[in-house]
Amino acid sequence: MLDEARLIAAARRMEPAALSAIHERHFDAIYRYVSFRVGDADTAEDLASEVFTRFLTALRQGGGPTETLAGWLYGVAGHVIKDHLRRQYRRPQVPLEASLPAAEADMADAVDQSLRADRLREVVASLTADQQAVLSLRFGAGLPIRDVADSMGKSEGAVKQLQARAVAQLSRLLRPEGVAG
Amino acid sequence: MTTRTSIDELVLLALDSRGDEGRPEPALATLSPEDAEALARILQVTEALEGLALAPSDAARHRSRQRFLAEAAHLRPSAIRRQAGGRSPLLLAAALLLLLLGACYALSRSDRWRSEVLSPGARLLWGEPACGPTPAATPQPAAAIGRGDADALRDPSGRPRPPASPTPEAPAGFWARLGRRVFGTGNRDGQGEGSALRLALPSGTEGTPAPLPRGTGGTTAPPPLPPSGASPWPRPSVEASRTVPAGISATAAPERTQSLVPRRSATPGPRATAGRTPGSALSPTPAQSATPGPVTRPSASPPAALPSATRRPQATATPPSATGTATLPAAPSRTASATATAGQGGGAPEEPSETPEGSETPEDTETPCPSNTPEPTRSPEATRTREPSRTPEPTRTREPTRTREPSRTREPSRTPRP
Repeated sequence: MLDEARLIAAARRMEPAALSAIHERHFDAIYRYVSFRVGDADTAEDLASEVFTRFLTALRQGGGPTETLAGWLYGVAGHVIKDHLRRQYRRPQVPLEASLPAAEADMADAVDQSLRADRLREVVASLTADQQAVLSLRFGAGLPIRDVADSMGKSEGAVKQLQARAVAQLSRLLRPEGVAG
Repeated sequence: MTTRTSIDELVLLALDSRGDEGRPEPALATLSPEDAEALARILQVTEALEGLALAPSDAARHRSRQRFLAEAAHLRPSAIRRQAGGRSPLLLAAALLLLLLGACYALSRSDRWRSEVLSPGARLLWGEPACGPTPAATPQPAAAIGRGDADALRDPSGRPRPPASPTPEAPAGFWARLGRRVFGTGNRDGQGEGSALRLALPSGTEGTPAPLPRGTGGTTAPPPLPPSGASPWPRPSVEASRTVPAGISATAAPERTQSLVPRRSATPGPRATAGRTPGSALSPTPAQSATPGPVTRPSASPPAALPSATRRPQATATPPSATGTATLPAAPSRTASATATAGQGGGAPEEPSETPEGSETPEDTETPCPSNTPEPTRSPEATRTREPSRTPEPTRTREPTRTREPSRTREPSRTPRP
């Protein structure tokens, strides 16, 4: 915690070493967290970069994280994802698959898998905001229950309940289609 | 068939077992086949959820890092400026505090210190003319002047001395009001009338004690005449010019000489006219019109003062009996002394402590009382009569002189002293 406090203090002075360390430490998790919601690699990269740009803007304006840097970054990432989904809802875009499999048999499996993933994201988007956040942090960023609880400002028991209910809701919603299977 | 709550509990157990590196929860082994099927679907969902997240490529990580550091480098100068500017409010607050303290100090000095706290001797030390309501009138010992004690301001009988009223004709509380205007409202409001009045104030207030009578009369009652030959009336012109402190700027000295000299040269004109001898204004006396010229306004009076020169003979044309025989003969002698003392005051101002007591007594003995009595009343009014004399329009200058002069002409009639 003390190290992170020093890191944040150095980041307020726009020291490149501190900023580079922060990016190195949190970019992968933020990227996974974003990609869990948006599904596209390029969009996830842009949105993750947008999260760090907002971090710099907040530091310049005297704001920024006060307690935990990870929680602040995930909170900003959630707002960035919402803004992106709002824009996407107004102007729908279909991403081009950059890594298409060469073989036709693999292509069929890949398309099937992509369709299932898209359907799963749609179902996840129908959950409550807290459930989406728990699932994104737990399965997207891969954070343990304690860190999820710290990031969301909830207790570990509440996070467990949210996670269990969200997964059960998904299984009920996906049962006729067999997405999970 | 399990209920919903039981499935949630199973999900919790299954999800918690995920953290134990794949070891199955013992409770899951005792499930019924239906519950086990439901739990299997939930676990499939969780696996699908884990597959939704993508891992960033190295290229994506590098690009994002470059973008992030470039943005930080762009924002770095503004952050440095902001950090430097963060101290400026503290500096600004400190500067404002100092300014406020300084203003309070100056205010306390200007009002309280001058008008109430400081004694005349202390005012001298501060370079302030101790005029107005200061009660220093009788000649004090030199030590008492510098000391400024309250004892020095008392009579030998022990009674506190009343404020000096240089003119017996002065209305009640005139000097008190004048002092209030000079030191109170005049300075607070920033108006310049305080300084103008201070220049025209009579002597004895500069710190050098003026020979005033020791009478018990307050500001309203005229002080009784002294038994000795020393005149009790202060000498505004002489002492004001004489006791110019060293701290006063050079501009103050000429103003005093200007305000003093016209009293003798120009004021006889308006006083004498007073509407009594309007026809005599056409025949000026060359002797008297010449005397005020070089003495009164050597440099300050511009050529526009020429109409006033034609007016001055009005005063000279009047017979001396009308104005009072004592005033006119005394004028030349005073002008000579005034010019001499003006040179002293402007050149080398005397130290307050060095002014001896006897230095003023000869002047007091020089001038007779009746001639001096109107003088202090003239001193504030001489400044008024100066202004119309400067104006080139004769019509404007005549009116104020006529309106003010009855008050002056009354003065000699009021003072029938020998």
